[in-house]
Amino acid sequence: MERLNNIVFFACSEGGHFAQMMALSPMFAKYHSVLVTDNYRANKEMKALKDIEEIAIVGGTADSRKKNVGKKHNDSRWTYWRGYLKLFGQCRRVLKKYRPKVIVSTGSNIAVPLFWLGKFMGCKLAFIETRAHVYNKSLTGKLVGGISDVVIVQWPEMLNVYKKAEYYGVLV
Amino acid sequence: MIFVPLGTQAMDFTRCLKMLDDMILHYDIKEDVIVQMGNSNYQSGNFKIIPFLPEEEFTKCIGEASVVISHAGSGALFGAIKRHKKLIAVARLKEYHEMVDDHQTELVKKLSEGGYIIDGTHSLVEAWAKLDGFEPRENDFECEITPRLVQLIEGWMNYDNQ
Repeated sequence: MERLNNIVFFACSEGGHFAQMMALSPMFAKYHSVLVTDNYRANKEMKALKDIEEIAIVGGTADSRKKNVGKKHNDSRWTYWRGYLKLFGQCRRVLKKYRPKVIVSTGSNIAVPLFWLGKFMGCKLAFIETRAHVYNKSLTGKLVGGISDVVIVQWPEMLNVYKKAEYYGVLV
Repeated sequence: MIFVPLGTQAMDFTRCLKMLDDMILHYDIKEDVIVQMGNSNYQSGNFKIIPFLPEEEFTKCIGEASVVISHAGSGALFGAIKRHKKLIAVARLKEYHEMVDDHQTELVKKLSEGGYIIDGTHSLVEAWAKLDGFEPRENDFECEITPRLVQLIEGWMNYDNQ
């Protein structure tokens, strides 16, 4: 297996997941940190991102969601899956480019291709379950909890929900 | 001023806007009401509607509000708790196609039982009545996630370098 680089990926989707990742910003300066996100507004001008080495924007599902804005009741599964495939391809490219040793993610769907592809590359995976889930696994958690090296939950009630769960409080 | 941030989700949240209208009429509220509506389609003479707000203005509105009535996104809820605001949360529900699942109810249950917020998911008229004498609990959340992650990553980096 090709060697991995001393790089840490911090991966998060937009919204609350992004906000929770920003609460980890004091860590960014410690490593060669790369932020992987679908939040187009992310840039190094943001105070929390000043210590991030690089930012990789992967559109994918966020693009298709934007196209759906305003349309009521839009369940176009086809658009969704097309977005997902695109996200998968983009994640594969950033993983090949950086070959990170560690991937940390606060979710949501961006973690799925990164963790599964990263697992096969030998990356160490830390999944932080969103603070929005208090009693049950999130969909992302169901998909990546099992392959993660550690699952950090944000409510004590969640300790029994994952096998590898650890609890240290909630990101506020 | 009463600030009502409803998030940026693509899904409609008209139910909450109707409840807001009912609440304003029921209590004859004279205070200004500003709604950050997101992607719903709704009009009302009772409040000012803005689809989306830039981050700085959003923060300013939260700061100036006497009461925040919000959808139950974790950012909105913890944002208000951090600033010790009186907040009524309305969870988006699956049965009305407001969200793909009912997970917003989990956080509302947890935080309203803890005394941090008021649950307004099913009725804003009822929730508004609870505001009288409600003093939100201080932000007493603690977090040691960062030091644990730093420790884990250190181990992983060193292990591989041997």
